[in-house]
Amino acid sequence: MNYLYKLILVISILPAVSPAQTLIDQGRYIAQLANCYSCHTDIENEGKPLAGGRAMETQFGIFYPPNITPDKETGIGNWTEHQFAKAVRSGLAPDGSHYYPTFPYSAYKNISDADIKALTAYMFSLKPVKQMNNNHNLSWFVSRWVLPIWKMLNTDQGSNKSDKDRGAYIVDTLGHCNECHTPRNSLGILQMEQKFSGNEDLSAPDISSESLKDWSKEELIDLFSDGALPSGDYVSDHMAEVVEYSTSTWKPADLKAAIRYLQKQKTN
Amino acid sequence: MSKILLFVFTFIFTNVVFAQNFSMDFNPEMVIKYRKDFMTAVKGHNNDIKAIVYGAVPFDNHLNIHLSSLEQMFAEIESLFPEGSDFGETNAKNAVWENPEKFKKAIADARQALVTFQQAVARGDKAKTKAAFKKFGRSSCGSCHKSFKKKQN
Repeated sequence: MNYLYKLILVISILPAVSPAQTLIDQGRYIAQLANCYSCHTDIENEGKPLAGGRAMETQFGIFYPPNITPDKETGIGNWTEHQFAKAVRSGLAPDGSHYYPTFPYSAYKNISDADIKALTAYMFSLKPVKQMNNNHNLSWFVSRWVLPIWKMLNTDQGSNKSDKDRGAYIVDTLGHCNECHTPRNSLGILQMEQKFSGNEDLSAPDISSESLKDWSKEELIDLFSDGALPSGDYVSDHMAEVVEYSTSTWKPADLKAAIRYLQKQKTN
Repeated sequence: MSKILLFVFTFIFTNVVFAQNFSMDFNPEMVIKYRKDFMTAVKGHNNDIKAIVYGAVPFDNHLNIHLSSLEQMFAEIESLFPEGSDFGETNAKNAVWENPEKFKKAIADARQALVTFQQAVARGDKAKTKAAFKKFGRSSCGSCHKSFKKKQN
């Protein structure tokens, strides 16, 4: 009988899931907050998740986000955790080359160490997919050598607010909402003094607090949970993907924090 | 001579009439305008359903009017996108015409989502109806817009 009590005690203090699995689950959620799936999956052609190949048409040409599954030949299977963190937060490939900023590393630079660790664990837990990356098809004036200068000019995406304001961290850093909803100049530099005032080139609307003032909290929840607009319409195209693969999966507390933050953002 | 003139006149007249009839049959700009108005009507029914389901208006008895309207309108959506109506002031993405099978499936899924929502309404549980409405919107209009409608400001 004494043995039985000891057995029950041991089982009761064992964690329900292993720490590694918990870290992977945390990383999966970070990937959802950051919406990695939407850009790194060729959704239109029913491509394999996160194996890259999606054509992203921009004013600078067509970009093809790469395979980020842990395949050793065509993906990130040979990367170290440090290399992965450097790619995400600094836009630097393991060979030292700069990534084009369709990869929103200028927003991701503020991702916390704990979240990067979890994201790395998740990415490397995925099933490797062997799929070669496509070469970008860019305008003649777009070249990697200008990227260090571009990076220096495009540094103002807000300070690291992760410890102070969860909403700011989700909206500005992981959710990288500025990338589409803040206007850019002709060099593609974000005009942060007009934060969230919309980007006509991307058909991304104004989401500053002024434009959201007539929205109720429930309407904003319906938008991020279901893509529903107050008019009875539904969001389309890329924003519909953002809702499906990202915002609809956010935990209620995170969604409320993000909405609170958006409702207090004022454009100068 | 008069017979020749009569023939020429008849030939020109019938061709003019035929051309007019043809343009009445298929005027792509008008089809696009009609399609947009049709979708605005769908949006109106959807918004009225939302107002009823959320308890914002006291018109529970109108629910079936909107549902049967949507049922009939959903059945016609595919016909609103004929070949040759893919230009100008349309919000439809090229994928509608480039991937017709996927488009047909999206419409079929939307019609099925409507049937599921109608069943939830018939059960009469208000809280569950509200949840079912959210799911219906997302898996009908929302799902189709993701692949087949351009973003708008």
